[in-house]
Amino acid sequence: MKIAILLKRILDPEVSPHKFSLEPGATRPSDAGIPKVISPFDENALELALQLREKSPGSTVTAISMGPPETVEILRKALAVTADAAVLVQIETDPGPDAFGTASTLAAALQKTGPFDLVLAGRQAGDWDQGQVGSLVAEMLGFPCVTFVTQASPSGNGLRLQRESENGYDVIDADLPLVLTVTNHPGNVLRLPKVRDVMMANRKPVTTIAASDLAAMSTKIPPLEILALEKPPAVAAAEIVGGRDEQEIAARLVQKLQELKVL
Amino acid sequence: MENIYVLTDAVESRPTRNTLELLGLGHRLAQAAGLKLRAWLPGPARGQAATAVLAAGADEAVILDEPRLDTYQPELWLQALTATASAPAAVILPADSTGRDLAPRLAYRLQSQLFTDAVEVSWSDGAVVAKRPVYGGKAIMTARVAGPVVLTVRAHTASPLAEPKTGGEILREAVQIDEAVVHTRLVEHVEEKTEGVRLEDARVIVSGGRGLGGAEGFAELQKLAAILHAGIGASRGAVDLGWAPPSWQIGQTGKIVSPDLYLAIGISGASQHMAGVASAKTIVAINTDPEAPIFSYARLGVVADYKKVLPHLITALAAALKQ
Ligand SMILES: Cc1cc2nc3c(=O)[nH]c(=O)nc-3n(C[C@H](O)[C@H](O)[C@H](O)COP(=O)(O)OP(=O)(O)OC[C@H]3O[C@@H](n4cnc5c(N)ncnc54)[C@H](O)[C@@H]3O)c2cc1C
Repeated sequence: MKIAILLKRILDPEVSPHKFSLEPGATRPSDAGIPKVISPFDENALELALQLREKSPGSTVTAISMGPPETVEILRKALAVTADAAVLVQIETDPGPDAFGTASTLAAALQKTGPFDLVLAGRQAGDWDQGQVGSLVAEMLGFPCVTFVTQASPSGNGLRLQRESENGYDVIDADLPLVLTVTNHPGNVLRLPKVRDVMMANRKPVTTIAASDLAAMSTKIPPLEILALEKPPAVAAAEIVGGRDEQEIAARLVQKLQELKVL
Repeated sequence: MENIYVLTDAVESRPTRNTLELLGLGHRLAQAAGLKLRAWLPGPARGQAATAVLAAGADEAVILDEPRLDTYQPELWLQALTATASAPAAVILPADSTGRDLAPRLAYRLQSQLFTDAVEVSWSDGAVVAKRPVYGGKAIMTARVAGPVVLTVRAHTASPLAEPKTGGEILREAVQIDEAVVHTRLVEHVEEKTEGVRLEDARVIVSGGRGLGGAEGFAELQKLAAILHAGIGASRGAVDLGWAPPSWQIGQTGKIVSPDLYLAIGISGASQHMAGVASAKTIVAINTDPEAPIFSYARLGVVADYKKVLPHLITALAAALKQ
């Protein structure tokens, strides 16, 4: 099985709100002083790709990321957890919220470096949170797509999947070729790299393709017209309930809750 | 004339709460834009809710009259929705596991714009203007989307109509289904057993995070939940560690809930988590770290080790609720 995994480099989504700053009129936050990381759901997808390779000997995992040259950092991380190959689709700045544009460039890159039997992506990137690119890539490649997948294993000529649903999960059999978008689950937390593999990763080649050299499908669909990007309104801080000891704190808390009539 | 579409869901003849919200929103948009609101009811089984769907705001209830649409199958549903969307100005889907699954593919097939996870949608100068949280809720984006658009809308962000609407028409559309498009087959649906109250319906929710220190912590929360008749939730931190099942996850990528009381225990208050409780009336936090972001969302806070407070809290609540 030839597996491709789409990775996005994003501002660390765990950064605390007060370090996150927006210039007035800007349509992107300032990235000064905030580390960039692999988007967390892409890490889950990467782990699933590695597990599938283990379950299906002879498979390969190719990590693909679109972004400026520094994006190579996250491709090195993918190589360090033993991805077989890495491809950088180079553009000038980190991709913004134009999902149709991003998906058509990635679809063209997949066609050029493939053909792939399976394409994996996170359910959404932890910056714009749109949850669109994986499914759009599927449409553009003409592949079927299963979203919110947590587990996958080879079955017959295709895959047997678990897909998260509102109150449990669905077991789904899917044919290849296929696109999956992946959501978090205790079974797909990304493994830690081995020291030796980190060193090897620095020596592995990363193929660079200029996005402008790709025959990206043109879409008639214009990007969103962003009118504003603002911080949400500030909220008042909590009233801290104190006391001599835990027993008194608990009693006072219950009293406050009764006063607020929420019990 | 162009139409606004809403994808509806129902249990027998009763539209779901989320459907009522989307129809309320669709009705207001259609009124503002001077367009017609058409509601899709996929499969004859959902067709039983047609009258209720009209009362909830639709001008036309379109029953997609094909029994194979009764159960959700994305490839067949996409085929039916694409075929029956006539002159769509806007298509409104719920931001749940069905709507989020369909929206990008439907937008692509209708060659329309796409706006996901909207929390506010209005009509202004011939176009949809919508807001959504981005960067895990650290920012709010407002965008104008001219031309046809597929939207997903978060639960609890739009209100159902206050008064039932009268009139409207029920249409049955025979849809041609081609099974050759099916490449994904449902083998089994596994429902997780939830003891006690469902999170979506819960007036009170007790929720635990990484600060609980282990699965045993959730056993303690169960005791508290039993006294309060509460649902139990979890942060992604706790779910990833396997302490709580994924269906307990609350937040932007978990469940969006709207209880009167939300007790967050050992949860730091990451913006992505808080996105799931934006419409909770009262948030109470127990956390050892006085600097934890959760205290800037909560109404009441306790800075303490939950293990020391919880037993006293359970006793005090049991006594208070007996009266
Ligand atoms: C795209 C994206 C989507 C996400 N979606 C979600 C989502 O839907 N839901 C979600 O929850 N998260 C989500 N996250 C993850 C989120 O950013 C946080 O990582 C997560 O919520 C942290 O979980 P936590 O609060 O349990 O853990 P931590 O942040 O580790 O917090 C643990 C807290 O427990 C406290 N504590 C420790 N010991 C004790 C004790 N004995 N007593 C009391 N308190 C104690 C600590 O002080 C700390 O504040 C998402 C992230 C991304 C990037």
